[in-house]
Amino acid sequence: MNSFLYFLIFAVALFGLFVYVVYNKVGAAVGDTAFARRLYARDMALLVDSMHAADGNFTIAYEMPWDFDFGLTDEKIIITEHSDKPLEKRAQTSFLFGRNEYVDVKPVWINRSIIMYTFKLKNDTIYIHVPSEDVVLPEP
Amino acid sequence: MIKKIKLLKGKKGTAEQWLEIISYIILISVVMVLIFALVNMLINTGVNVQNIQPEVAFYRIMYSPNSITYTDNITGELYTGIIDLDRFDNEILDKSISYSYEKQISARLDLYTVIGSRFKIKKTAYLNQVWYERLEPLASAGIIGLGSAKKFVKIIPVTYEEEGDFYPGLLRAVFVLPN
Repeated sequence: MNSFLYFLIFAVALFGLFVYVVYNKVGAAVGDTAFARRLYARDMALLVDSMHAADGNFTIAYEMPWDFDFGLTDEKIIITEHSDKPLEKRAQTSFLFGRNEYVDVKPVWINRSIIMYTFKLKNDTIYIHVPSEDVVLPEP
Repeated sequence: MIKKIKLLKGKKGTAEQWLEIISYIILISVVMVLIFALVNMLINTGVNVQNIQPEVAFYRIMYSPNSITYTDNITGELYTGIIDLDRFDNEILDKSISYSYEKQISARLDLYTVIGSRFKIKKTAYLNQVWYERLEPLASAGIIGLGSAKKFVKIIPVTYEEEGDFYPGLLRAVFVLPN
């Protein structure tokens, strides 16, 4: 074999490797929900943050079109993909909001079966309200 | 390029051919690495809310009940844009916004009073003073990276209340947000 053939083999192998790596990279990015999880964690956390400033009652309707479970704790919003795995074993995305001692936050855990709900500030308490009264919302 | 390599056959020695081929291999590798880096750079999964966070914090400082804003003692009405000088201190600010993780947003608020046509600092208060003093020099120096921070400045005209009287002033808020 001469040097040209070696070069050709190397170039083809390198090109194959390149296509494989780029294809996997783009495929992983398309299938990944990390962006949506980050976006919703930040959006909800900043919403709860802003609600702390309201002087009076405040209600905002919120829709979650993604297949996510999420939790409101007294310090942050946690978002995970919906799964039967325990919470500790799922990939979590969270974002802190600024709290204070004048407003209480009622912790809650929402699963994907609920896509429409409201964030409410009433009597200095922030909580999530689900339209159906039958739904019992667990704490995270 | 292939034509050129074919021409090399029989005209030059093997060592010469290899020397030329190696340059092509390097060129191809560099182009592929650059294309990969470009693809990697364009796939953006980060969500940057650094510009919104100071706005929300400022909104909370200026419009929240129990913050520095003047509140009527009898009606409980909040007068946005009027600062209660008695409440303009670190303790009130830290009580109005706090995080479970301390390395978060911090701020320095300078309240200026108007004397003739000049402004003079009346009072200064900090939100999360410890982290403001740690990160502000890094942010001012323009140091980039995860250990550093970004600085945002907001200046608005305000009125402040002191011992029952109201005076014109200026509020300069410098927010420092860790990267």
